[in-house]
Amino acid sequence: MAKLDLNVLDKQIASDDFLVVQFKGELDKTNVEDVRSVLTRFTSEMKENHLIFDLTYFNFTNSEGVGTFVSLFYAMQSNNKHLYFCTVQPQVMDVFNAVGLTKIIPTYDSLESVTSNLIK
Amino acid sequence: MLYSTSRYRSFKKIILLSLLFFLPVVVSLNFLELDTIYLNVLLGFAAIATFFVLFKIFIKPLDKVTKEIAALVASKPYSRLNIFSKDEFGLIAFFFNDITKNIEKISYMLKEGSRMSEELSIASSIQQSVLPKSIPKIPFLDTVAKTRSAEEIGGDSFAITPHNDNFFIYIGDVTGHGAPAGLVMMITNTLFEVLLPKAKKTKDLAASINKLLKPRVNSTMFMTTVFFRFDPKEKRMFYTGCGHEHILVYRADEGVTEVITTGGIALAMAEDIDKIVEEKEIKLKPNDVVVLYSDGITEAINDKQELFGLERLTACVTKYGHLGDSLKIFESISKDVTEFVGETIQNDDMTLICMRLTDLDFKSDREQTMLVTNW
Repeated sequence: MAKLDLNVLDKQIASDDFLVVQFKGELDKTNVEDVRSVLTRFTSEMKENHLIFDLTYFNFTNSEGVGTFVSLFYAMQSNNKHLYFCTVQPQVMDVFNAVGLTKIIPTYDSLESVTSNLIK
Repeated sequence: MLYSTSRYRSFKKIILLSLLFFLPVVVSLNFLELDTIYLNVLLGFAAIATFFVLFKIFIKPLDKVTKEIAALVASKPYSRLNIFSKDEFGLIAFFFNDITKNIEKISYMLKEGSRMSEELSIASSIQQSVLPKSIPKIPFLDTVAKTRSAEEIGGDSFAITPHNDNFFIYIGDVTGHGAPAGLVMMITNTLFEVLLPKAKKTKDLAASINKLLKPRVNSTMFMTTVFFRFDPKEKRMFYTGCGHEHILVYRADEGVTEVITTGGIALAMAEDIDKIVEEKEIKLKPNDVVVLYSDGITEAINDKQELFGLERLTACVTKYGHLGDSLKIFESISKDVTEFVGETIQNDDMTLICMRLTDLDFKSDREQTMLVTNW
């Protein structure tokens, strides 16, 4: 079974309207249901309006993993919340680009670039 | 529920009750010095009482248990045993009731499994019926296409349909596999056929299919696709990518394979893809070969858990592209994939399409039927 650790990073400033979740590991059909359930609950309970997925240590996703991101994106959008990706590994970026995921979910090179954008 | 009883409980009962009935007889015999008539009457009562007790606590429940077990063994209707005593018969009755309950549960599950298997088989044949049975003869385009599902129902799909002097071709792969993927594949295939008469370009077709598909599928599902339009008069080929795997083009003059990213966005991922997708042309010369595939091929694994991968597939196309016949090219690639995976069971659907531009109006008598390959 693929292993994926999800860590919510501590806020630098308490008033920030965003949360950062760091992904470590892989997402495939063996763990996609569990991950989807955890993230769906997390996004429905979060009070902040922006969620950033830091994918620095995220090594693999298949199409079902991509489906999970799409589903979360639309669920959040219907609640006026926003999802972003940052520091996507090249092999994962290839998958995202191939299916066109980056055309709907904003993707940034670094965590700083997305957070500075949100702080503005 | 746990059931507990001490061993030989019913026998202990019999001995205890027998003693209780025969004790007055023994006492009378030794201490009261009753005459023979009274003694015989007492013995008679004791014997009747003992028989009654034996019948009540031993023979009757034993008969009941035997009758129901015999019915169960003979596959005849049986009923639950209503023996609740805390002796061996109570224990046997508890065991019988418990085991028959489990047998009924298993029997129901087997029936359900058989029903579902029958339904899957029907669904599978319906799905097979929407895939082309044979490839239409396309002038100047020697084409072979085959698909194989990992399960009864697959998520891979393709179609080759003539329309307005052009041939429209698509290959698609739905997220995941099995029944949910198969249903999305069926919807897309139907939309392709229904909307094709209104389409002039592959881009229009992709956008209109997406518009109807998106609200009808679960948000976790999408379908990567690439649509082609081949114009036999002009011998020109156009495509619109919707997030599918690469297009491999064997360039016959140079003996190399070009890897083209399809681009665009997968169907059902966004509500309106009109501004995201676009129709492009692939310039082809005679004997150039266009190879399309689903990720079941590049993600085919061997016993070392290695992927077949895009690199190996591209090398295959370069190696066999010169064979000059799409069927030979197809079979050679298929053989390499088969040898690579060996006995390893594959979990994903596989589809492979080879299209070779020819100088001739392709009129071969070869029947290009849909054969399931040995992947």
